[in-house]
Amino acid sequence: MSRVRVFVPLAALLAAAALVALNLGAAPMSPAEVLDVLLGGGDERQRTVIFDVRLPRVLLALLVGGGLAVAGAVYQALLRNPLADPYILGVSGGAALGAVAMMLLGSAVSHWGVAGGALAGALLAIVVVLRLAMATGPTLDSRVLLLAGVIAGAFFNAVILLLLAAADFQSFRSAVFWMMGSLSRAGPLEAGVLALFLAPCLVAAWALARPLDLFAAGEEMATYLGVPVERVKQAGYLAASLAVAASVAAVGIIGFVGLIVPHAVRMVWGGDHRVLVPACFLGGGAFLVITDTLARTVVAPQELPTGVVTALIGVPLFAVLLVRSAR
Amino acid sequence: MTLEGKSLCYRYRGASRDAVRDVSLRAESGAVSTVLGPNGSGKSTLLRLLAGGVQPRSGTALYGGRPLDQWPRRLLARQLAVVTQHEHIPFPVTAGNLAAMGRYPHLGPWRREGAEDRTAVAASMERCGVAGLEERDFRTLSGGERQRVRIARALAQEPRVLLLDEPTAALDMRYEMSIFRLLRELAAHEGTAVVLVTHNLNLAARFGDRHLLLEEGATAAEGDAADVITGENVSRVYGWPVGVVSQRFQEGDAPQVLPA
Repeated sequence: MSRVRVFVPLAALLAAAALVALNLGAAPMSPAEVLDVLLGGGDERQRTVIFDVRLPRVLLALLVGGGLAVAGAVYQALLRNPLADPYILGVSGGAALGAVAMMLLGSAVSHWGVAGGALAGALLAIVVVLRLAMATGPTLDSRVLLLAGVIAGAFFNAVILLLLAAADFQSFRSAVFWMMGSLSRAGPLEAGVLALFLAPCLVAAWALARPLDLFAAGEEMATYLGVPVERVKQAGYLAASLAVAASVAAVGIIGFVGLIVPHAVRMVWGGDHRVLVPACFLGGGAFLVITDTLARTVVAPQELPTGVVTALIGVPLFAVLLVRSAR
Repeated sequence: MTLEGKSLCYRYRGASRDAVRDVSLRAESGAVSTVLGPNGSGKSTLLRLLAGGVQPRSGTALYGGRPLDQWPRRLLARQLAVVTQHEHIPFPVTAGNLAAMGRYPHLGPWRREGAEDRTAVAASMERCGVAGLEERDFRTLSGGERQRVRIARALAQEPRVLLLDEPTAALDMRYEMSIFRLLRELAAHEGTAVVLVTHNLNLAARFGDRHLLLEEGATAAEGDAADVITGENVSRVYGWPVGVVSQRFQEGDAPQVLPA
């Protein structure tokens, strides 16, 4: 499979989606005007709209969608389970607990405080789950890891519900909206910070592409083929989990991207991770740019929660793909 | 360098007896060594011990005089290839890409395949009679094709030692014969040390040089076919009366088992 044939259409889709996203909003601009502003033209107001509002939001959507899709692909490969999604190991549960706890501290806490709480919660979840999975033996058992992730997630959810049961209505509402995921807080700084967090994770996932291919043959067979299985597992889980932690801290819980994008890419272009990992980044990014643009425009000036729109759009798309590939 | 198991013992967690008990085996270069025995006699476990897939409770498995767990797996994989009994592939992968996995231990730091790697994969697929299936999804192949693609992957590793666990189970006569022929040829022409776990006593006797018969994890008999595959040994170990006749083949005379 020639990589150009995969990356060019995906990059074109992403560019088109980004351009449309930059056009749409409270102050519509034509594509020509947008291009003019991007190239340094336009008036003060147009420049502010593009560079401080729309472009950061597009970049944030690209990073979150791409990061979640890559993390999903890595989890699926390591767990050898095509149904694994980025939230299956409890990272999102930990993040949500941290975020909700910060919100309950009161309205004085800024969205940076909430993001910090979410990041701390996610990191706590990663440590707890990895330690649980390694408690049964010297090696990291993926089946135990999966169970540990699921039960840790269930526990975090129980604590969140307990906290919410005692919360006032305003905190309850903002917590629930946070858990549905929203990119409305996007600014240049938010996008930049997330990019710094994600970059090493994405590079690690890309570097692990070849050994991840061999995991399809099973861990024992991969060992016989020369893969340092334990090191790859540890590095892979860590990179994917940190990518999820950063994404969730930035925008809350956006479902479905990390499950269906790797699936769709695999159905169309096969399972070679040297293609799959970058294609997931481009495809996941494009998907979230499109769904987030819909989320903020269809009932403007109101916004729909982006995490809800991803599922509303993603499920039917995925169903079509499933039926067509089954033929 | 030689692969050698010395007094290997292994016990599964929660089991009351050893699955493999004090078994030694030397995989001689240029020879086909077979591991025989009924279901549950420890054949597959012995193979995993020799492959370094599990660590022995006591005894050691050595390659080139060095215990397997002290070998970096990448270096070991250039010397030793394994064809396991089952393989479940959860994702779409082409037969060509599956066979190319065998080049992994030979790839450089950037993990890019070069012309040499592609030649090796093509040659091993050709040799196993699966050239032309490169673009097919591995999971849609027939049982015989899958098994031969997996053997091609092992050959692409260009190993000095080849370990196979019942590679011809579920294959029809023609494929089974061609795989036994291929293993014989690898040993004779390339000096590969072949270790083969099999249920087919007759083909083992005909194509193997050395035989190890296991009974409840322990060595019941070892040596050449005339010493190991006798009516008495086979009847006792397999728990079914058999007659053994000597038959002449182009490979030479071999004892052949006829169950009563």
